[in-house]
Amino acid sequence: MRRCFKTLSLILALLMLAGAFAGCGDQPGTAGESTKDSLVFSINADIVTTDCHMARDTVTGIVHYQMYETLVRDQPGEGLVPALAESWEFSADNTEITFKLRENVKFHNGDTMTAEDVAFSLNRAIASSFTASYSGTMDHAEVVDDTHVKLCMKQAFGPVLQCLSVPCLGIVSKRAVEELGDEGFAAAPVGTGPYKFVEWSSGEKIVLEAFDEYWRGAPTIKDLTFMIMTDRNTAAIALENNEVDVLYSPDLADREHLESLENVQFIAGDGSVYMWVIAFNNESEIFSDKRVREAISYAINRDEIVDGALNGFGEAVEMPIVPSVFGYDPEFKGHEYDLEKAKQLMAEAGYADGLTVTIKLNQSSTYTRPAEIVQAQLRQIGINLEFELMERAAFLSDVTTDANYDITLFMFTAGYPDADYVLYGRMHSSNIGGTNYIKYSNPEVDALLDQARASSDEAERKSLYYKVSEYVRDDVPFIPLMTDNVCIAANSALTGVRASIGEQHYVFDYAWAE
Amino acid sequence: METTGTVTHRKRSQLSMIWFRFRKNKLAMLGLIIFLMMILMAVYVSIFGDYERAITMDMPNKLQTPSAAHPFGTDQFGRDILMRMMFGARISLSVGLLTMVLSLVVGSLIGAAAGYYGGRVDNLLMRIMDVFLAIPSTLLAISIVAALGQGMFNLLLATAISQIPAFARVVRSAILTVKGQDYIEAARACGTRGGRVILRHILPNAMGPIIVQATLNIARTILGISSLSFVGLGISPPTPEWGSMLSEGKTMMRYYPHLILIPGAAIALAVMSLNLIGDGLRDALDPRLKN
Amino acid sequence: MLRYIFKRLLMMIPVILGITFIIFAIMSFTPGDPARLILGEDAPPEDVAELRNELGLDDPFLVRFVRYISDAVQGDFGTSYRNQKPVFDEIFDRFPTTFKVAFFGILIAVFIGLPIGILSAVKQYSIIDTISTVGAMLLTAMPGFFVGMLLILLFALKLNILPATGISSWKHFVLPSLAVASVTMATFIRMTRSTMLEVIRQDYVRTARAKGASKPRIVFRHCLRNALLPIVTVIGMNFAHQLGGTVMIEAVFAIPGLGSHMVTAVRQKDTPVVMASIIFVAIVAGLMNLLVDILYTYIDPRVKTQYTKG
Repeated sequence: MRRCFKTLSLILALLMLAGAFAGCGDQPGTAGESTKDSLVFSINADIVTTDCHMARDTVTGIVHYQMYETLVRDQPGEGLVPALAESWEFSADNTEITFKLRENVKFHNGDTMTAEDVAFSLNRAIASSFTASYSGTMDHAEVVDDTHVKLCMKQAFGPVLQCLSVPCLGIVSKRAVEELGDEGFAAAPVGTGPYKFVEWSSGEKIVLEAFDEYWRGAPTIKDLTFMIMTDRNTAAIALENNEVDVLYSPDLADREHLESLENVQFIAGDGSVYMWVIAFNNESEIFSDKRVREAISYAINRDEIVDGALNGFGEAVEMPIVPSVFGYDPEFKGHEYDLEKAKQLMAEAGYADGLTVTIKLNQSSTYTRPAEIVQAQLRQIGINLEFELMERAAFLSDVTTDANYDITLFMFTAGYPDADYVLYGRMHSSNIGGTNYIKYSNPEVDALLDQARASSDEAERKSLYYKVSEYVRDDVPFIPLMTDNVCIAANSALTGVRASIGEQHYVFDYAWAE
Repeated sequence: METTGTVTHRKRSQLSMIWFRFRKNKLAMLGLIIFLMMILMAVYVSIFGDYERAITMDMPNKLQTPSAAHPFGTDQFGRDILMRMMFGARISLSVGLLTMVLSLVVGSLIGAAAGYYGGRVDNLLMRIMDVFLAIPSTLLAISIVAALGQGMFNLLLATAISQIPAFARVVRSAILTVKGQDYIEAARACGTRGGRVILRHILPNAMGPIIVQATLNIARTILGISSLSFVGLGISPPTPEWGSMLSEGKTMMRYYPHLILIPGAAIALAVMSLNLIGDGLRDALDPRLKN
Repeated sequence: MLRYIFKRLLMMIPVILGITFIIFAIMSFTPGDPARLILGEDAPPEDVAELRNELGLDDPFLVRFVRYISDAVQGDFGTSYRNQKPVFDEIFDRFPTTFKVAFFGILIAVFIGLPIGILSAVKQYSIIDTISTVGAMLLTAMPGFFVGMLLILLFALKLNILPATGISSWKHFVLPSLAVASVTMATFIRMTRSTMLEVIRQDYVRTARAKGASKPRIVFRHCLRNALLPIVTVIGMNFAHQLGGTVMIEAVFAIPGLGSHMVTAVRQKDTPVVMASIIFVAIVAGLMNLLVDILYTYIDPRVKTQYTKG
């Protein structure tokens, strides 16, 4: 009996060991050996889902850009080009757009794309709460005929085409969604993009393979693996050791080193769509006093922040619109750096002896690094910023939803590169209680924003946004600080890699040099 | 004084016996010396140190390697690392001590109650301790800080809670050993109440293992706090803390290893010295190891 | 014996329930709205409210807790707030990784730590003893993530012989396992050393020496077997502890294991995932401890009678 038990437990132990070793050997398609038609792309977070209408974060977008397509495509260097739509026409009042669809486009499951699929996809996207910031002004889509689909908007909206170029509004196979249901579709997604889904090993990698019936032709790169490497510094090491071929968003600490390597190309681009700001709760006791806000504005040394937080790889911005976003004007000037004036303003506001205030921050170093520098700078005018670091969840809920804060340092990101996104969302009084958590309300600004939104005259819109920016400078509801430059690093032998402001990285355009 | 025949021995008190044995242990003495040096450093910097120097940024001088002006170099904001390390010592030691005291008091009370009253009380209390032990301490600390928010007190609480079961166990077993002894029976026979028995008779004899546990506890706390700070849940900037120094320096550790080697070494030395002291105390208190 | 095992399994239940309650309570007090997190800061408040309703987030604490327990007992542990996948899918995906890291780590620690401990005990106070003790102390005094960082610097960067991140091949597990080993090794060394020292002083060892038995024979046949009990306890406990505790190591090496999964879930207030992960780890740890206790009976037959008696 005892011997029986003994052998039994020994076998059990061995089975456990065997199980542990089961997944152990070298697996096919691992990083480390890229053949000439495969590519390993390193991303710094896991994707949320494979269903393009159910996510809006950047990293998920990168993968979706390979699998799905949209009516128009934002091609780095060229702007918006026709993709699944060959051409389009705006109605007289700009509230309706009729698209002429491209014919003979195949889905990954063999079906041909029809107007039904397009209308279905757009409506599905509009209905999804994840795409609200892009589809908010869209009402519905309807089939006109076999090759035409009409998109009806709630109002005239300048940046509409830009919105239609993001994967959130990707075109999916209606049949696939209806047959498989949402969950089934996520397990076997069907798009028209150059790559189709193979597998997703949670936290580790996403494997795609070339879709040979892609309407622009079979992709050069046949096997595409996205490796999830949450630590960007070790990902840089992996790139150096040729374990990965592309490194999305390298850490700026590694920039100099990567630039010095022969087998690596560090591609720097222009400013991104990210804008760091110091945001005030304009209704709070301390910061409803304009003089305090102004004082801070005069005491900020943006160049120091760019140097310390971004290693110099970025640009100070004085306008609430970053260079890569439509509406930007390089001539715009904000407040000059003037410590004396700042101190004077503080004294006028009654804080000659100093002021201690809590600044709530998302605890990620993206925000704490610039915040530390701001903290040091404001100490010079007697402001003592006490950090309250919060988890992202808590921060989003406390600050950006409940507006329970006095001052914070955060990012205003342009979801699409148009000034409307940030300015309307953050400053229009109709959004107080929602995205306007700085609680700014100014009817003149509201009028300007409404006008700019409805217009499709570029020159007119630009001058309107210039005026809005002047309000930002003079009323100081928030202080724009800086933006960083987009960059990407890749193996030197890879061609077609570009840094992209909107994070569009089309592997379809990549090829291994001979 | 005891006179045995013609030779007079001075009867050593128990305490000096322990100290004597401790002194003989070279490693333990090494630990003690290192730890005292750390305390001295913390005290020195509190009196003579310039806190401003540790938190004022100096961009033009950032990321310098050790030199005459900055013996340990500067960090990515130009701050002097030596100053930051010394102030970090003050923080680690004080938080470590406070946490230890908190978990010691609570843990001892629980363990004492469990050990003394026994039976169902013991069972219940120990089950609760088991529950807390079954949750990985890092995770528990992270959950608590995520729930309560950051800040010194919450950090203390989070770290202390995971240490309480260990104290409870130690105290409980010490009490169980002592409980059966005759002098306890005698005290009870005299009519001494429960609480008094615990305080006056049991706890003094359980002191040994408790002190050992306390020393080791401070070490574990320092590690715990640096871990929390490493993931961004610990002490907020610009307060210099070894763990957050490690976290900040991590992105550049390839190119400027001194950014992490120095705080890392500081943590290692502090923890090691405490462990050596704890071990030494354990050896010194345990008569069975007398050669 | 089987009765004993059954009793132990039964006793695990209240512990698990207790853990569930505590963690659920902590999560309830954690600020942050999972719905807001999922939809992002730009989503309109109505959408967020709708999602909250869908997820049942606005009900009172006890209602939610009871609902959770009753669902769980029927096998439904819910889906992740973040990606709507059933919670155990990802947990089972990631557990093998954490298990491998913990397992190899402990294995290395045992294979290096035990011999060193034995050697230290046998040659007490010698140079070897001092060096190994100090070395072990130093290693264990360094936070696991710091050791990990040093290992990356040395092996992945300078020497370039091991990959710095990823889990695709056995090579990827070497450094993380070494980091885990460094954290636990000292405990094993000290434990082995002190237990061996105790055993060496026993009378039966003296008898064996007097009988003329050779040193290795004494060490292995007599000392080690008797010292094994506490050593095995410590190994078991450490392993169980590492399963949930590899969080820091996973962070440094960016390994998609269970530890980092749990931490991410806590920070995103993804309560179903947190609950399921903790319950899972607790059960595995409990089973591990049970296994260790059963192992005792083979090492020390006297223990078996204690179990069967009660």
